[in-house]
Amino acid sequence: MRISHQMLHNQSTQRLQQSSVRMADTFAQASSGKKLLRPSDSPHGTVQAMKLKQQLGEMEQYKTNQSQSALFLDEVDNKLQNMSRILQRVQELGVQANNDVMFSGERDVIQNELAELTKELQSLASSDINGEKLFPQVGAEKQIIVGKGVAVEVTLTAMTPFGGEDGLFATVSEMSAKLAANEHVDLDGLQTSFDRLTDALAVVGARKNRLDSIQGRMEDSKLENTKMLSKIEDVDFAEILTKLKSEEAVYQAGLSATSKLFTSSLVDYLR
Amino acid sequence: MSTFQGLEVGKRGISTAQTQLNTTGHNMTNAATPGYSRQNVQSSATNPNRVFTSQSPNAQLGSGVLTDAIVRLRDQFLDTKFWGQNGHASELSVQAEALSELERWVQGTEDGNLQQAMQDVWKAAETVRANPNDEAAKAVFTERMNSFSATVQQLSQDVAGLTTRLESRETMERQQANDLLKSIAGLNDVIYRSGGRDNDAMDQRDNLIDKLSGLAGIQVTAIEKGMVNIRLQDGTSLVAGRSVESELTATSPIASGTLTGIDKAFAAIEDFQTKLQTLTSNFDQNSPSIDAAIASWQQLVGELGTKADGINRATETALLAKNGTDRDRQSVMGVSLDEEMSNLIKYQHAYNAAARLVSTTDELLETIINRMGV
Repeated sequence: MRISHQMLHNQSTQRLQQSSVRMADTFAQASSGKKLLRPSDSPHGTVQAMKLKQQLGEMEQYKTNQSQSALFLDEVDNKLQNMSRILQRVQELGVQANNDVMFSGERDVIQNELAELTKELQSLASSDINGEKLFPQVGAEKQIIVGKGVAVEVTLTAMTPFGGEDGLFATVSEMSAKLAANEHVDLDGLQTSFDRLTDALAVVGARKNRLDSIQGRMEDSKLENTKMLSKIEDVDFAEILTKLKSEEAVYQAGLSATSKLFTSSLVDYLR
Repeated sequence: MSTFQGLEVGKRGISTAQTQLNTTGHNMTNAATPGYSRQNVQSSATNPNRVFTSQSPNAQLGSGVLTDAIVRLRDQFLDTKFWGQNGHASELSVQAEALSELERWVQGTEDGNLQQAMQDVWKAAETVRANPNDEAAKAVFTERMNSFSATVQQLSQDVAGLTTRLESRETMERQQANDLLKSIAGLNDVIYRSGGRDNDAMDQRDNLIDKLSGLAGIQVTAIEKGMVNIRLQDGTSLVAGRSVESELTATSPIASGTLTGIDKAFAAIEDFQTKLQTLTSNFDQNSPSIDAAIASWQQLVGELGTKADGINRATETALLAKNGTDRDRQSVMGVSLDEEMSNLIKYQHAYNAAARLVSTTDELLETIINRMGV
């Protein structure tokens, strides 16, 4: 092939241009720490990274929801504990009242205390968080989503801890009526209500356990996703710096070769 | 045989060598001129004279040298190949540029990222769902919706800006192509008047065709007296000899080159805009719809990335092919200074020898005039 000077010039500038483009790309990766600077660098990787970021964002939200659920369940647990303590006291009062040797005034004292305790029970049973009842009617239960497609019920329907028509409050008001009429109090009814409360506490405990295990699993997959995202997106610095160094060497070699290309022509040897 | 034949032969030699020396000088000084093709002096021995000889037929005595023509060394086949490849490469490069800008807008900043904006809406909606009575959460949700709309609007604006820039570029490039057509017809005229001998005008014209071939896909055919006709690939005549037959318009059936590339980039951008619009019009506060919108956005980005990646690769290949052909062309038409230097020596010696012939003939004449019959 016949070589002309224009040709040598074009070729060497094109090659130098190519090496500097490669170097600029590698430099951009090294300085940003990211492998994927635009979608065309790796369309598949980009979409993968977007999906992982989406999942990580969702997990962040689910974590907030999980704390919210824990708050609700703790409150429900707390209120039920208080109620069961109060109910214990009501039972003690019932045992006292069923004692036949009792001054007539003493039953009034018991009835007064019972009235106070009933109020306390009612207030606890109707407690809420930010306007949302902890023990709502059937159909108004609150569910919080704590994972993709995973919902946890964070309230208990009033039915579960308090029973229906002949439940806790009916029993207590009946006791009050019996006290007024100087009759024996139904201790078995009280025991049934107490058992119902204890069962409800067990239900809440089980839900909290479930929530804990969901939280643990989510932490695991969050770690896994973060690792994967980093693998797709992040630059291996040792690798990229080595690459940059070798590209720089190629560029330098190109420069030095180009400078030698034009040092002499036939003109230098003619007198 | 004339007495002065030696002087005539010497004169012809001097004159031819001078032409060759001057052409060599022209080549050397134009070594870096864009589009210049090296020129070569074609010369041949002139008609011989008959001399009487003892045997029949008579011998023919050579009568020296004369210049036939000065031609440019260029390969028409490589030119045609280059013009085709140039159109293809330019068509792809302009698309690659446009898509890479689109990619930049799509990528956005960490805050201006559309996926981030959509996910923020989703998070806010989830928070409202978990706390239906929390006014602050509702306010955050409204804010997130606003910020999502703003992000979409900004993105549409950026993309629309890209379209506007491409539109003005298209107008400019078309104008340039039409100017080139006029200049080419004008140079055809100059070449016609020189009877197809004006090498430098032909170089200039071919250099303009190099530029034109990048803007629009063309077919070039050589006609009489060194002129060329230029047609679009579907046969529409643009330049016929010395006149411009038709100019390029927005509806010209151009098959490749920057102008076609811009049209294809428009189509890609429009497709993107339509999909973005569908995505945002289906977007509301329900979790499933947000999920669907995020999924379509991811698909859109994936499609864009794949398309840009494909075009980037094709552009690289096309540029490589074009540069390869240009190298082949330069191998034929480019000036090699070493070659010209050695030619310089060759022609200088020819010149010196012809001059010596004249002085030798002069000595012979001196003998005849001053010494004979005195």
